[in-house]
Amino acid sequence: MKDFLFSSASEIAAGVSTGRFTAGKVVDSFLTHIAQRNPPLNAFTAVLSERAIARAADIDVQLAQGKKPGPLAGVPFAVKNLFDIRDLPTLAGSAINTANTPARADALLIRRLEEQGAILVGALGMGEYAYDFTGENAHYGNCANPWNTTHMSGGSSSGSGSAVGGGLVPLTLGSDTNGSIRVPSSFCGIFGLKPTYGRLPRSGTYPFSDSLDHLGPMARNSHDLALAFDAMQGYSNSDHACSDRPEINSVEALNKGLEGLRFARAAGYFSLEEYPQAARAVDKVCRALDCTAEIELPGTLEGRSAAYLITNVEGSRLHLPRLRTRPQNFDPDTRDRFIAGAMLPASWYARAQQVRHWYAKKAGEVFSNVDIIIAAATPCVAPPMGEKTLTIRGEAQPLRPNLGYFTQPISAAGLPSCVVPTLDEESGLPIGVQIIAAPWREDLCLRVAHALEQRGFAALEPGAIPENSITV
Amino acid sequence: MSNKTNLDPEAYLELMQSTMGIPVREEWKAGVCQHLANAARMADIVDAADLDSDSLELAGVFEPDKGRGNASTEDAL
Repeated sequence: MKDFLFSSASEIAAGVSTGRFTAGKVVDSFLTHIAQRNPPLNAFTAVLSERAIARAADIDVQLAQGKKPGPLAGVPFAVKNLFDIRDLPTLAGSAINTANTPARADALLIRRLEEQGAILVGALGMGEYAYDFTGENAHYGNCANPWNTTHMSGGSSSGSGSAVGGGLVPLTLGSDTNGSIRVPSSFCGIFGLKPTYGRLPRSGTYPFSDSLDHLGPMARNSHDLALAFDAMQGYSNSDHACSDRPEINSVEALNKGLEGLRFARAAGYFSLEEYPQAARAVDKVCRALDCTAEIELPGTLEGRSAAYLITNVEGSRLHLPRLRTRPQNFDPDTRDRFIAGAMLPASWYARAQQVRHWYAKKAGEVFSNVDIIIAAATPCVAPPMGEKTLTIRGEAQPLRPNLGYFTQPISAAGLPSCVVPTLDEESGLPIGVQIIAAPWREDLCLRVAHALEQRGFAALEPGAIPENSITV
Repeated sequence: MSNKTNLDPEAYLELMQSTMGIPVREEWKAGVCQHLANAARMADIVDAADLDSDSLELAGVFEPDKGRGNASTEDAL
């Protein structure tokens, strides 16, 4: 391991647990990587060197005493800066929140990861108040794509995608309201899991749209996602939307293979005639899975539109006091949308909620005929920073909302979705594909992602890309 | 930009900025109007969904006793 650069969480945990190297050595290496590699990417907004070094020392003491710190022993991780971190104000990508009282405690999912041996090393940048798919931020600067720093990282979990893609840290946490884990995972060439709505408690995180907010892990392989996901599961009454359901063992499910699974490619709304880069990516995955069937998710256009309105209204209601008193302090790209959302008629919102429920029910029913649905994660590879339009069916559309064109309906339906990376040979940039399962079946998403990895779909190292790296 | 809801973004913005008490600078208005028009198009799509016109199922499930007996005190922030 060349100083652990691009090492996976599982490799690190195995090495620390067996005494091949210490947690202290791991943390020192990654703090060096962050110092060297972060400046061109602008992924981190805070590096917690002192805390991380102390925690690593504690883990090494535990190991010396014969204790087992857990399946994530010594794994450095970082979180989108909407997660509460003890003694830091929770920025949520904004300038306004810098004046907030520092958090008194870590977010629940940080605590759950650390209870399993992981080590928090920092906070990561994001689009202001998570209303973003680009990774651009007027206050803190744009977060760059590790494959080409003049291109977007994707957002709003921009730092989370860029940091894993660039090898700054093996594991990050992000949030996903309409695609904010899956879009940066696609653009940065990594794996990302958006679990079922209600699976992971959001306690201690700054909200965006309560009806649609999810949290989840981003990493360089499916095993790391599964390790982190299993460590974070468990009901908590501290999030009113958290569902009291049995936990699943997704690590154990990884090696079950593809046998017995019914696959279908998403059609209709998800058709890709206009999106050659996304079409090539989905073709590769479907070939690897021997998937020739197609399926439509009825009501998707309506469901996606409902999610747009719900997000706009709920996010704007959250920020209404600040829109009234200090609208000039918002990022211009989010301010105009929040202002519009604060003005929408109540009947539009009520109808959107009704349609969201209707769509989620219809989408859930589709899984009586299929186990896994394959769909594009993004319409294209990462666009250059500053790009404002995206061509959809021959019409120039605003880029920002439409980068989530294929992810937004899936979170509206609350379905679990794992992004698997592919490489678009023409552009030389990565683009992801969504592996979608029925509610509460994250194990199936991760199991299929794992099988795809064994067929050559991997998180490649930017700048060291082997020729013909995808073997299908 | 046309929409079935007959929203006139400029006129609507003028009315609602005072109703909601949001001071909207002149240079922001074109952007806000674009987003209002986008939202109106989304509202048209949502309105056209094939739902029973005598139903209104939209409540988040509210369980007054949720978590009792299963409350996790370690989670309290």
